[in-house]
Amino acid sequence: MSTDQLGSLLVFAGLAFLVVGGGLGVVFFRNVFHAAVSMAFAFLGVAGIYFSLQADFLGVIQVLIYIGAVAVIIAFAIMLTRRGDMAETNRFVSPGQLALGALTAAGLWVALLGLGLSQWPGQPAQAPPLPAGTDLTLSLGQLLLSQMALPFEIAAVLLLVALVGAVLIAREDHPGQGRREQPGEVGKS
Amino acid sequence: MDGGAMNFAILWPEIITSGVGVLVLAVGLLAKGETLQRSRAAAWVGVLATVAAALAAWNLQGRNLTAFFGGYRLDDLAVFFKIVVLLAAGMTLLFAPDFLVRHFVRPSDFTALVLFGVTGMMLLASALDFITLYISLELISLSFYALIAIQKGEVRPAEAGLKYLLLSSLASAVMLYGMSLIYGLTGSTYLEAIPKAFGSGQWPLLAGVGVLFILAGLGLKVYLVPFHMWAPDVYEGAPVPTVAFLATGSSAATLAVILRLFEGSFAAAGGVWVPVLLVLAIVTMGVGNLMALPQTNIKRLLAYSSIAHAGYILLAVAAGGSSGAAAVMYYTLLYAVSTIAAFAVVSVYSQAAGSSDIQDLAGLARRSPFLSFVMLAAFASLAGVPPLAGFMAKFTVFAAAVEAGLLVPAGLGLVISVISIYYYFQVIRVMYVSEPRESTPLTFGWGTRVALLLGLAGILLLGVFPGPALHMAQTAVAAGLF
Amino acid sequence: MVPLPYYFALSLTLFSIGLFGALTKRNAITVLMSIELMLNAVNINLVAFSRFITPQALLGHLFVIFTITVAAAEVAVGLALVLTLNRHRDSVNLQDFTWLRG
Repeated sequence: MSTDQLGSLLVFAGLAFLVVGGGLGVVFFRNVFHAAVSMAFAFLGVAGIYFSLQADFLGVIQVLIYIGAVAVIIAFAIMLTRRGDMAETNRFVSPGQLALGALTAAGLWVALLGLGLSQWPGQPAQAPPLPAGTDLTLSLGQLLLSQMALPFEIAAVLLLVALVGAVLIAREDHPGQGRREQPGEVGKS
Repeated sequence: MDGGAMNFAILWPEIITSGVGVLVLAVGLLAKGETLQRSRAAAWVGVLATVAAALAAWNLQGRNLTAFFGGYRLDDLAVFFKIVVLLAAGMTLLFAPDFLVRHFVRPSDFTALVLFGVTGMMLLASALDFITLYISLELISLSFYALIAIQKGEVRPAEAGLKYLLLSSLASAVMLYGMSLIYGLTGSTYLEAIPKAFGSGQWPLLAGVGVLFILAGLGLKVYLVPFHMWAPDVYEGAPVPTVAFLATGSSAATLAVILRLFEGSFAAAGGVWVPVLLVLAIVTMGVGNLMALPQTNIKRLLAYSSIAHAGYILLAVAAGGSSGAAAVMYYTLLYAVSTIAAFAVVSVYSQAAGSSDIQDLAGLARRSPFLSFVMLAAFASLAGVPPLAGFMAKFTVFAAAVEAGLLVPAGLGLVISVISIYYYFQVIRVMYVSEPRESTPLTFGWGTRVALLLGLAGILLLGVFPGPALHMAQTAVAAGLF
Repeated sequence: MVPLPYYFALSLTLFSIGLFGALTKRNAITVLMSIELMLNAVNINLVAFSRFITPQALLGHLFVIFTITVAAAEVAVGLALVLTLNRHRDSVNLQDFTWLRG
């Protein structure tokens, strides 16, 4: 094994440790805020995996969106809904369901790992090299506005719906002047 | 890459609905002194938009072309489902304002979200690659999260919304994992390219797992047991018009994509998914019909009824072939019409009664003979009583199953479906025989009246003259899935 | 770069952890986080397959851009729902979320 291969293996091992450790933390930390921080580390590890796969653009948006937006939003949600002591906020369901969930996940892991390793046993150690001068970000931008133009347009509508939906859901009062039209009809429970 | 370039002219139905959606939203936000009552006009604008979009879709019949670099398919199958989801959206918008105003929801917000949702459904019916499919599916889901939780002042809608959000994103994640496996094995996300990548050879086991994951993800939207458990809670918690649209539009659009995927791309892997789907379809029928029996809430009863009907439809998917696909399409249309008619009635009486207990239907026949007659027709149709539409639809499903040699499943389905007659007629008995608790006549607006009449006409006409709709379904299937 | 099966195994492990969490946690916010882990696992798969199997076509990269967009939108709506439910503190406890409630 050349030093180059050993180096990439070590990098991968480090990143995998971050991803899997972060993931396990989400599930096993007893304080939900610790779980959220642990999730941010897993996201960071995934960004590193993207860089190791030469997907630089995706690595950057992974950091920006997953860590910068998703993890922060979830931290906000936790702090805004906090009540008192956070020590035991991330509990498991009843033992019966817990066993069922563990069995499902473990069974899936074993079965798919076996299938996957038999599917790609003789993969070359090295991915096919990208031709010199390939600019993946440039190609991505061009593809987004040509081949993927339709999903791109749909994503625009989707983001509008998410924005409007979030506002409508979180809005506190009954809208308009109808609030007192029929007092007592739909009281705040 | 072949498969046609950007051709926005074939997107007219989607452009109309999403454009009017934005317009309604903007006017609703900017208009000064907008009251709940004045905002009802928005729902009528929405109804007109669905009619215009349906006409545009009707005009696109017979094109059968692929566009957007192989990501979008406009064929008669897509047009059929587009018209079904537009019908569901239009009928929902007709009866929704009465309910919404009563519960302090602005009809303009509701209308905009319904129009965005129906845009996603129409796109889903045409999706021909995983990316378009996924993003259209999520457009539908996001619209429904908001539509479910839009009703304020009560905890149940938000609770139902959160439950739907978590389950539906879990199902999406599972579906995406399946898609990533298939992408890894074929190197393509295009539905057309998947069967070509495997050629005539055996599908690897990993691809079979991917297919099953996708079945699980899509199965949630069509109430496939064991992914059905969200339905009763969400139906009970969400506002009635939302449930009507969710029960019909969302599952119709998902069935379109299920047909395209499983009868098209994954047809060669039938050895993997047909037995699974067959067993699940029968379990779905059984669970739906048996669990409907003890229900005392009409919304929960209709949730289990949706599950039961999903079982029949999925039996037709498993039967496959051109008659199976045509049966799926015809059944979807009839189920949509009957279910929305039933929900329109539920919407009126539950506003008056303040609850949706079946007991509160007592004496509906005396309070409003028209309402109870529509409910009678809808439930008789859902129970499969001839000569209503439901009978014809069940007949086509079981005929397709027998044609495919699935004698035992068809027989089991027939036996199970007899149970459904009991709980549907239980409700009808309460309406016609029980003593009313109140005797005030029920009132409802013009929109609701039109929706009820449309539903009644659909139930009667589709049953007595099934020819045109069945013919449309058969020609659509004959034109192929890609 | 390490071989493809390494990436597949990593993705599968993260997916299984996420699935386990989504099925067994009682706190609705943790369920949401677990689902995000599953989506990240999908993205690792897509990028790795894209790099190893179709290095030029970039389909996997494009797919990932869309899944990230949707995930962010979904989390935003999820937060809105969580905050709304939190207003009804007395009747609903986010930490007592269950899939099946009769």
